Amino acid sequence: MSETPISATQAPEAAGPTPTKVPFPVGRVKTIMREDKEVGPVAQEAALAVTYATEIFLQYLAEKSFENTRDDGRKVLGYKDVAKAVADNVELMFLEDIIPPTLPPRQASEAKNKAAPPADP
Amino acid sequence: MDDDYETGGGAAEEDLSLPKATVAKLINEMMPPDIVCAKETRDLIAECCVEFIHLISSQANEQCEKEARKTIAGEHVIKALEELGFESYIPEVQEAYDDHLKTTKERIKGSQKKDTGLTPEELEEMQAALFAKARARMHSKDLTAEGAGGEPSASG
Repeated sequence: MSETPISATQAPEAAGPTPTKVPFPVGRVKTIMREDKEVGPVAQEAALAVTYATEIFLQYLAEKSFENTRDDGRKVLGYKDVAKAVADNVELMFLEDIIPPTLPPRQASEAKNKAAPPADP
Repeated sequence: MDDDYETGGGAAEEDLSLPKATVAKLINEMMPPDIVCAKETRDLIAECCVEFIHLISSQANEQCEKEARKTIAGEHVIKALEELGFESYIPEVQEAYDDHLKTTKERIKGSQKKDTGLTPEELEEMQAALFAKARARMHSKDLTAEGAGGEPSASG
């Protein structure tokens, strides 16, 4: 008696490298997009595209940053590595406001005190 | 929350950021085995991603308005990436998006594929045959279990 499968509904899943599944919740990304009051309604496909682009961006930023860590002979990726990546790459210039290039310690702590209460080291 | 600082003088943003676990996972996947990312740096990178989202949205919105359209579409996002110097992302975004569409379509097809082409009677017959097989297997297992039983037979 030939063995017949119980159900023929089990379609083989696409084998091969998994395409980038959406890592970030698209809904959250959409909400972040809409935080800007000027931004109007966003189509789902647009939110999806932004989500993928953000993943690529994160990977790019992380890579550029840890290259600096490595070049400096360190093992822990820190603020200054990200700051250097921002300063060295023109596409990352939009981040200069939130990640200013590392300042000399005195200036840095002054700026920090202005922004937020100093945390104990 | 004292770990968030206001990035601008504008409206205070709610604590809206990307899931930290996901950010951590993506960063760790990029890290070589000998380098780790400090927790604060992870948070920093997450903030950068949020800024990136704002940047692209704003640009895409402009594009949308230029075309006198009401809803931001995928093409506006692609255009925004191009204009902001992230054109190298476009092929990957496009590919991932196309793959996503394909996977979604396949999933939908798969779930709709309940109709195997067999009649209910034929399916019942198949099922009955399988049950019979299973019963037979169980029955033979019982026999084997008794035969190989651990209890030594009492010999005179």
